[in-house]
Amino acid sequence: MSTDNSASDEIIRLENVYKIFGPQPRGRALKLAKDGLTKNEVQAATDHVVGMTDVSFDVKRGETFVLMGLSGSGKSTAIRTVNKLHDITDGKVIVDGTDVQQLEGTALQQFRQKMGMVFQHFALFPHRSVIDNTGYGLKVQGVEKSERDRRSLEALDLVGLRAFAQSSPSELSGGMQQRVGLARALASDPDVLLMDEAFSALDPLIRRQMQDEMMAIQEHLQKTILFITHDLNEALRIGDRVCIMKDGAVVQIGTPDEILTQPATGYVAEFVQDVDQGRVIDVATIMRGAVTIDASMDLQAAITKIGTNSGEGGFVVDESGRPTGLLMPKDALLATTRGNDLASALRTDFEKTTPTSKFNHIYAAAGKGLSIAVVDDNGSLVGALHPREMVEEMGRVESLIDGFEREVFM
Amino acid sequence: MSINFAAQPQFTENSWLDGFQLHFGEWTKQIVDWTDQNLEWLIAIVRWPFQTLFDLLLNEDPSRTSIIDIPWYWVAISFFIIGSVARNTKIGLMAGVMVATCGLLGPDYWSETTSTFAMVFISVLLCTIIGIPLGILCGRSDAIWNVTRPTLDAMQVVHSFVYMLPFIFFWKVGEVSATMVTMVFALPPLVRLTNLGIRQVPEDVIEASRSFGATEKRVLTDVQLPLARPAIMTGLNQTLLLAISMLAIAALMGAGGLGKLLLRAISSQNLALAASGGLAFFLVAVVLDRISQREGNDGLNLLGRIREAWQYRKDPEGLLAAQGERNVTNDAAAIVDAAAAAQEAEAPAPVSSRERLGLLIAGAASVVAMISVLLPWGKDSGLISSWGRRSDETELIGQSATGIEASGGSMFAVFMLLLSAIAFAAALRPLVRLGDTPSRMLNRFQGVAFAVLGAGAFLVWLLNLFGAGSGPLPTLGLLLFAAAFIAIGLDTWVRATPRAGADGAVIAAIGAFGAALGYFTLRSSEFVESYSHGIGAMVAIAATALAAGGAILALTSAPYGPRRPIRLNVSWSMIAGGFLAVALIFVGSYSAWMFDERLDSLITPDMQAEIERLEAEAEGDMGKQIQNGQTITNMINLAQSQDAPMRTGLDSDGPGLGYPMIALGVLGAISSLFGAGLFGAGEQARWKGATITAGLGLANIVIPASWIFSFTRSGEPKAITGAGSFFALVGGVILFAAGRGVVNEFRRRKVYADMTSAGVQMVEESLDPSPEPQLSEALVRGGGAV
Repeated sequence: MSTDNSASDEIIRLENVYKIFGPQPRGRALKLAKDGLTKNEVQAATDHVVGMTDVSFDVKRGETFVLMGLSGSGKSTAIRTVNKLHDITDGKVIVDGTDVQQLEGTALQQFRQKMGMVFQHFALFPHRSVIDNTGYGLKVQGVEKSERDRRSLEALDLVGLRAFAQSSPSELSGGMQQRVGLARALASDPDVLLMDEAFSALDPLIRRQMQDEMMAIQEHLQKTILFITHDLNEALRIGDRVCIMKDGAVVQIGTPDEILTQPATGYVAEFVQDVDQGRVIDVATIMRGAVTIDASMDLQAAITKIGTNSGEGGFVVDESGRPTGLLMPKDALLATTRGNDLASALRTDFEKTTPTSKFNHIYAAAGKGLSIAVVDDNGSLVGALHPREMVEEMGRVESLIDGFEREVFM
Repeated sequence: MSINFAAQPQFTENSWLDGFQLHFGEWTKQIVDWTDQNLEWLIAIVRWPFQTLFDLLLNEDPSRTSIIDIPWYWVAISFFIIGSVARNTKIGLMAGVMVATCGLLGPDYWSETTSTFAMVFISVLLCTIIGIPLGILCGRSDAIWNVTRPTLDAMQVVHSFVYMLPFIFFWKVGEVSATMVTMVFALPPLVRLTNLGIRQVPEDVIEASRSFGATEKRVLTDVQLPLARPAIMTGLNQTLLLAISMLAIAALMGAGGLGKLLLRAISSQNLALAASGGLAFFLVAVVLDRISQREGNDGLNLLGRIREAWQYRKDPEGLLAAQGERNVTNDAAAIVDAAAAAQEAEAPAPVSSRERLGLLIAGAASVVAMISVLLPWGKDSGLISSWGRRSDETELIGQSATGIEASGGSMFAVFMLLLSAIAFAAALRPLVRLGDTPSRMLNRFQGVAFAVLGAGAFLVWLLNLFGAGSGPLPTLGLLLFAAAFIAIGLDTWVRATPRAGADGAVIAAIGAFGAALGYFTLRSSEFVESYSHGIGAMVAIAATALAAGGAILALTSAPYGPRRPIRLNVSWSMIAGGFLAVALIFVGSYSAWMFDERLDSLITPDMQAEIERLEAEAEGDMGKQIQNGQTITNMINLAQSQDAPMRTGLDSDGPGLGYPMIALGVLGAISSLFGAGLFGAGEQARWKGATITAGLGLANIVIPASWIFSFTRSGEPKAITGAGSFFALVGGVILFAAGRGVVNEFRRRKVYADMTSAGVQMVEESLDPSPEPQLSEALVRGGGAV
């Protein structure tokens, strides 16, 4: 998902955060955890449960940052430290320059009002109508009723539920309830959205639909989103960056592409192996600078320029940089043997794509066996892609993933 | 003297223990004594809220208004309003009638009933003030709960007899300490259930509230309390039930109320007092329980619920689970009803010409029957009133009395009037097509009218409580009662509730016929010299018979169907009900309908002559006067100690009501065989059989009820109705219930909008000639066959 780079200063930062559950969290258990013992070892030694151990990450403004992990990996604990629904045992949580741990009472409540949270099981108030649920954040802020209803209706409009404003939550389906949950989080126009497994309880089709809708809303509103999920496909689909956690510790942080193509450990690889790589790897990963030839060139000079060994073609561009023709080596050779000129060897039936396109968008184009032009938003040529390299890249990732030693999951 | 060591018990013997004494009891006594002497202020402080409430509601001070001084009808109306607001009008009406019934049981009962209500109210109020906040604290803090839970355990494990004494010692015998003991017993479930309710609120909903920046106070009021409300309401209901079950023990500690009556009955072995007191107790418990229940939680009778309150008094989770399980079935039924309601957008099945004729006959005849109460029902003496009132035996020669007069038809005519009105309304309903508008208008009107009347009533009640006199009170009270009845009746009629139609008309018309028949076959008492039926009684029996016949004619062709598939096998329980009813009616008819304990009945003519002789002898002689006076007193005492003259329902010198009872009862038992499906399992046959069974059951209720209430209306105190009439009444109730169970499953069929006109034609054709329409479900569906 596209990110506006000009606003990429960080808004949330966790620094070496530890969270221990138990009667004496700051005692020996914390010391052992700091010494690098794993969650299970600390639990065996002290009977304390390690929620988070040495977790550090930062989230940039306007970014969708996904925390991914299985249950017990500490991701839900992590999101709750951001608005201090959980206290931390050690470390620092900084949000927008504020040390969250220092907040108490009214200051904490006002701080929380700047955030919106969406829950796995919706957590709607069953005794309030949809519109009152949506306006709850505003009510807490003391916004008067008419203004509250106006803004609630706007938020419901965003999720397409204006018609259900007076219904009771129990009259809605799961997907609709979560839309209300989303509208409730958006109604008070928060800087940060915290989404705790927001779509995990929904059916697969509805989940995908909600993801699309959320991305569309995000395109429009540009909120900072901290998203939690146990579904890697979801994480890779919606996240600008993904942080994978295991047993309370961070395993890898990176863009979806990085996670997929450079898994840091066997744990990540295990997750990644079921992912359809074509959905995640984008064209920019393997595109190269395009070889360009001049339409006025001599055919032989053009062959020399594109070379015949790689099988890649060269593009002819017009004065504004748009590709207008493609010279494939075998066409050039054929023209040479027949004695034709360059113009007759050029093809115009080549495919174009953009750097942000995923592999699965160009499977059909790649099937032609021709080099693919990569163009920017203006249509100017920025690079080229050869179908063979796509297959090579996917094969490389596959063998990398297979190369990790498998872990046994408990 | 040498010490005999052998006489000392070995430490292995039990008697060895007697050589020691641990003075625990003495220590306790010293502590209590010290507290009593030195902490008087503390005892007074604790006493203050209890004493204040009792002074406000239940004082003996004649200059101040106490709850006992409130007119009975205001109390009944208050219960009607409370029940209607808290639950629904049906339960409100039931509560009002039951409360009023408590006052009918005897001279002391009304004041004891009201003071019982006041005591329960005070203890439950104080339990609420302490229990709900404590429960909330427990729910939000583990530390407080860990301290409170063992305390609650102790309160429930230790028997109330154990802690009764310290309370009596500090606060003396009386209402205050009795209320405290009741509270110790009744408080724990409320705390437990409130705590549980708070803890059961899903964590993520609370987190949602917090994540939006709500303060902890807001989290409590916005989320935790609303979501814990069902559990808290259950807790309140439990507390109420336990408080009621403690009333008898509270009476031991000197509290007033119905418990005192029971205690007096036990100490004097007065069976009549114990039975009536027990009944009043039961009614009070039913009323309080029903109006305090959660919506849709009527699945269990009162005894079952008290048992449940005891059983689960330390296990609130179990209680909620048990109730939840029952509610699942209730919910399932509600879903069926809702689905039926959703389908009811369509019109009811059309009225065929034969049904229309029957309904018109029933309606017209019912009007005639209603008018008949204004005509003379009896001449020269009272008929029913001759049994209970001496003056009606001989002093009415040459006079006649109309149906509604006590000397005329009395309650027979009143019941006949009421049932004829119902039959009229039920018969006419299918003939009238009303849209949604009247119903909606009525609902709106009802809401406003009830609100205004309720507010007015409350205001006047308050004024009266503070002694502003009771000027417009009785008028307003009657107005409210009348308004309530009319509103409920109209509402039932407009909404076309299930029994508004041929079946309702049959049941009510047969009931009305029963009342008329009862009056017609009733014999006057033996001292009546001349009596003849007036024209009204004749008209009444003819009109009600015609109404019943017309309604049955309509019944044979009315398009009704079960709202869900009914079981096809024979309902042996209905047959058993029918025969149990007949057996009870027989027993009732052979038993006493009247005991005559009036003095002039006890004294035979011989005795009368002797008394007159003795009085004449003593004329003018002081000594003789005293001596003969003594003799006369002895004679009267002797007569009173012998069995009073008794009349059964079948005696030749009795009222003779046993004969119509038995006739109607046997008919009812036979029709119950049809209703039970013994002669073929056809839905229509069962429905008709059950309807007629219910009608005959109602007739068997009406006859003994008219007998009993006519005595209440005009009988002299020593003319007592017998248990036979009561047995017969119970028999009637059983017969009615046996029929009603099946009738309630049936609804008028619906015609749906998507039906073609040919379809409608088919319905009419198949409905008219054949009582068993074999229609495809797609065309005609019973109200809610889901």
